[in-house]
Amino acid sequence: MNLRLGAFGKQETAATVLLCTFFGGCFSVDCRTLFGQGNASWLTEIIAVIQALLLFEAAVWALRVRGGSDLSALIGDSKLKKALAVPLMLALVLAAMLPLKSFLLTMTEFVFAGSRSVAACLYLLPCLFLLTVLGAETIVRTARIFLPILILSILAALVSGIGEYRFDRIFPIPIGNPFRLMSEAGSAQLRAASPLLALLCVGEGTQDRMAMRSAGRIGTIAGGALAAAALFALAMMFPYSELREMSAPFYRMLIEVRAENPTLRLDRAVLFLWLAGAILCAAFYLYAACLLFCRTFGVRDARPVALCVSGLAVTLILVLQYDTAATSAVRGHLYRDAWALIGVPVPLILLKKRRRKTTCAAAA
Amino acid sequence: MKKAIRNLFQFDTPYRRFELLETESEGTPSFFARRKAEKAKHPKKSGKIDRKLKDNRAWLTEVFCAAINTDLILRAIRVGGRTDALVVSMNGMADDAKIADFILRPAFHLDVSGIPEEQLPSYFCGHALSMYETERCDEREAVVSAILEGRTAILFEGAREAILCDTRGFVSRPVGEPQNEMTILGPKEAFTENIRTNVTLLRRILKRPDFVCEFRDAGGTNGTKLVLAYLEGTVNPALLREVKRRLDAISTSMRLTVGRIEQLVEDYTYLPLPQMLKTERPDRAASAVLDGRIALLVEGCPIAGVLPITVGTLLMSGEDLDMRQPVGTIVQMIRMLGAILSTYLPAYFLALALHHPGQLSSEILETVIASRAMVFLPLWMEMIFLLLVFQLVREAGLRVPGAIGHAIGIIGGLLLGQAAVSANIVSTVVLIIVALTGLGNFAIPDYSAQIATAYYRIVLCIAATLAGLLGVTAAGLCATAVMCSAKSFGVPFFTPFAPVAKHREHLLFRTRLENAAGTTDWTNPKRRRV
Amino acid sequence: MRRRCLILLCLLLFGGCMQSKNIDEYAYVLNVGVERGSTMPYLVTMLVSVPNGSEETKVENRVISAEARSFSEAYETLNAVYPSRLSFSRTSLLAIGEDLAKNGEQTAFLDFAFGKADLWQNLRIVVSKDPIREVFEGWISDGDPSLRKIKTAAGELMRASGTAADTGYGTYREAVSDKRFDAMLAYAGATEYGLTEDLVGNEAYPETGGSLLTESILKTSIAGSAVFRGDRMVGILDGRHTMEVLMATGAFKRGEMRFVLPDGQPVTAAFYRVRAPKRRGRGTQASAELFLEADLLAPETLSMESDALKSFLEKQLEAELSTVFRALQRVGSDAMGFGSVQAKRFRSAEEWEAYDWDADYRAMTVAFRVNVMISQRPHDPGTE
Repeated sequence: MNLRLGAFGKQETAATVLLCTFFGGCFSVDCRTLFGQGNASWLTEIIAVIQALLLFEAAVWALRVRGGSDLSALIGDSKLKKALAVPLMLALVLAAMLPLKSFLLTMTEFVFAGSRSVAACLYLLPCLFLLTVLGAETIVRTARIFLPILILSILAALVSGIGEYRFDRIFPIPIGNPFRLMSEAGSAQLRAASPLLALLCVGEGTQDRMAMRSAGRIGTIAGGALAAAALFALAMMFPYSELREMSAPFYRMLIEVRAENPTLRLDRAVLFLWLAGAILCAAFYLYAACLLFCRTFGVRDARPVALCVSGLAVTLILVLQYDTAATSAVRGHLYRDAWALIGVPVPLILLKKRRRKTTCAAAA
Repeated sequence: MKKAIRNLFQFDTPYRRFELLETESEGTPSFFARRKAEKAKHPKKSGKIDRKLKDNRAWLTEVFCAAINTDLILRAIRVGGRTDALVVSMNGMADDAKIADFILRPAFHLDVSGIPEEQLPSYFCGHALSMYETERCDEREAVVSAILEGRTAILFEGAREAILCDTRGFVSRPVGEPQNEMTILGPKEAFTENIRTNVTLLRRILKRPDFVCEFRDAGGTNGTKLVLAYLEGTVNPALLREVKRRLDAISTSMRLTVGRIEQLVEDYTYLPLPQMLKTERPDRAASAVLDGRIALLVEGCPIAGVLPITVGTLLMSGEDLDMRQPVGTIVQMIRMLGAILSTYLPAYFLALALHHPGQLSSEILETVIASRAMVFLPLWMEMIFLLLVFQLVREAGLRVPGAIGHAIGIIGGLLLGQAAVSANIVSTVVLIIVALTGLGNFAIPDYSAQIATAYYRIVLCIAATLAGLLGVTAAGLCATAVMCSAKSFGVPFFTPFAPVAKHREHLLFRTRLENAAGTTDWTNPKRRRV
Repeated sequence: MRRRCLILLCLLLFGGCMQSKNIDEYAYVLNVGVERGSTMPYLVTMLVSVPNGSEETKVENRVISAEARSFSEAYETLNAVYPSRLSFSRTSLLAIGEDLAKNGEQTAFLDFAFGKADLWQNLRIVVSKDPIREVFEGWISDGDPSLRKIKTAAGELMRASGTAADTGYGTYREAVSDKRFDAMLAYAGATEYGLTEDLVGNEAYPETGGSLLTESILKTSIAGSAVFRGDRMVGILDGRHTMEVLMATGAFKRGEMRFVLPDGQPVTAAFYRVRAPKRRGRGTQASAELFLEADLLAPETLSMESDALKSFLEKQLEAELSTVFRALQRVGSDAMGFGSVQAKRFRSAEEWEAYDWDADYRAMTVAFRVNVMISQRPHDPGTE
């Protein structure tokens, strides 16, 4: 077996989940969908995180009842449940792809204006492949190393914009319809629940089930809070009418700051630091997808699968980068409906098949 | 006939140049010049000592090639005028006076009448040898290694045992000051080539009964001795077992040093960072041993290896904990800054200058452009050229004796730099950046880590040239991930930060020094507590 | 296998080589201007700076222009004729010709320029009264200004005088895309000018002038503001009225005003913002409370007591603010941003978008209340 799972502690796991939740919350968004009806993104992020945590708690409870350490234990040998694992893998690949797609768009639009996205992608693929092949242990450790500097850069970005924030920009807050808020939070589950889904996939690498649960809770709550704060800062920086037309709001936030004569402008350094964070998160998702595949279908070596999922993610990024009617439609569905890839299979996997009393009686 | 004609027209036979053919001894190599290593035929070293002195003499003559190896002294004597014996030692390794005074003189005067030949070695030990360290053995191999170490072997006619006497008395360098790991507040002693002296240096610091120095053969055919020094009861037994297992696997005919042993036992061949700390300071090795780590001393090598290590170990110097907390924090922060600057500064500058000029402030931009006014090399080429020149000056300075080495550093740094700027080969800004990089590099305390940084620096510069900050990010992330995945004897490289562990290594902010019992816990030692 | 993978990765990286140039191969565009062309829709003018490395003049500045149908066409033309490659990485100012601004023709141009070129998203925008080439030439005519000086001169002037709206493209874009407020852009000219077309009335205040590098014949001035309604310029405000609008919006930092006391004695006061104004509003009723600190020049020579002076200044400012508001209301420009106050009471974007703010604004009455605190500190002339 060469699954490259390794063993990792609570802090590293929490750091990875935190980064995944933050990058998912802030960079896996489609501005047109998210800000189309006003800007309550910071509120929906909080609700989405709570919903994801409830789902995670249910999964951990199921693991405790059935005595397993990760999602593959819940899937078991049932063919139907194995089939249900496929949308989960797809969800993880999509969750890995979305922030990178957003960063790629930012790069081709603002940083390497004359370059093609394929060229930039060629730098992402080796990183993704290497990290995925090195396995979960390496990914979470690298995430732990990067976490302080990433948090610092995020906070610095939020603080440096204070001069440009205007509180009146957050209005009108669309809280008139709570049902809409809840449904928007529900449709954000691809980005909110994916970190916890990935954690459930690599659960065996954590110290024990309780460590996994606590790391998941801490990471999600901290990451969700950070993402909500960043989205709130964004709401004070741009009105919703502008945000819905924007392609890279967070980078725009960095470059909007009127620093007249800084000795060194650091917006690009910060952007690429965030890119490193997004690559780490993507690698975590891809490794989780890869492990889920190996465990479900009995593949004994994770490396070829890692290559495939990395390639698949990068190909999807490149394909969806093009503006055609078909890709626009796919993109629309991706942001609106992809929650179903997690929201439907996970509850079904958690359901336990009841043994039929009649069969038992007959057997007796 | 032909020969006669040739001799007629030729004054002498032409000199046939010597050429060592590949096929000379070990068969034709394959396409990639690989060939199967054949075992050299050596005389049998193992086995039991023979009763007949003649056979033992023949065996020793063969093993040590005594016919051509004049270092081996085989002195035949008659003990008490009755029993034949052979005193064997290695010239230069053993002290002649000790042999004459404490072995030969008592041997001639000893009365061995009535003593059976079989019991002669024990009788000789008890009644003739006025030496402190003696040992009886019947293994040929032990006799050979003892002779090689400078001890003297006494073999008797009709006895199956030999006596090994400690007569070691070879010349060695006295304990001197460290040359490469200078400290201001720390001790000024350094290891020497003598393994015994090195062990003594450690023992003088670690006056503990549980401090164990385990002597072992380094492996291979050259019989180098090594010492594993550790605290029994503190060191993780699994770690010790693993180290021994890896050392046992060494089988080489190379001369062994700590650096070579490191390469033979390490896991990650292609990782530029060292996987064993190499120190010439006994106090540093002793600190590591107290932390539950293992020190490795090798005969003939004035360097100790410490294992396992982490990134923090490479970035700390021996005297860090000698400094008070505020000063220590500043020194460590500067060192970290130096390490980061030396790795990333040239690449970051290249990325900004080539791909993101908007990120440079107007003043810096004007200065950079002004300095490059007449330079004909492209910026990236200029940077890589200067980085290579820096490495060249550094290597040249290292390999020549002290004063000239310093002179080369100054000439390289000042004159060459000035000349290169005047000749419009390089610009002053790039020169300043490379100088800063060099200074940062020297702030890293470990020599191997300094060299490894140079490797990362060049890779990052190439990545920055190709894709600006995207390249730096991709290369930096991959390098960090590879380092995160690497382990030094089972301990992840970024311990105690990822994975998190209690520790005494404070990379950035040093905390107050407190009374601490036990050791750091990242090697999972038996006595754990910081 | 490992080695082959490594080679493959290296090849991949070399394949993804990004375009790069040495920094000394670029010419840096510091200012960009667009106005109506004579034969083509746009005349694009650029102030280009090339650092040359000489000790005396560190940079060489030139003004170049081309007529074109779009920004990219102009860029390609200028790039082709200029020896170095033009880079927008240091562009800090964009000037729009008044003729374009009055017809709202600049918006399409700006959207395209900011979408495609590597322009800094929040660079400063000014409206130019005179031909932009003259404005830019006046900017660089004397003193061999450095790159930094050219970049920061306009901002420093606006900050020191407080008489021009220091508006970035981000704010302009926000004003155009939303109805919370209307844009107010700094107004520039190639000579020192009196703002005779001021929306409020022909009050030639002495503090309206503010010029850059004025030692030559060409004197670029920035003073007062061009007021917009949506993307169309609808009028001009002089320096003093601009200051008052900025006070009402909260963007005001510092500025000097001159008043005449009832006994005819002139008094000069430097005002500072103490805190953001409190603004409330619902439908056609609104109020704004301003908090300022006044630093008087030679207060010991004044005939009025401190309390009376405070009250006088408050009354004066309230009256002037009401006048300016009415003038803006007349042209339909919400430069004071009362729309953003209205937005607070809506609970969904649909409701807000359906709301006819324009109609309410036309009928709106605003009660201004100014709180002035007379400063005890010595007078700060605002210069170093």
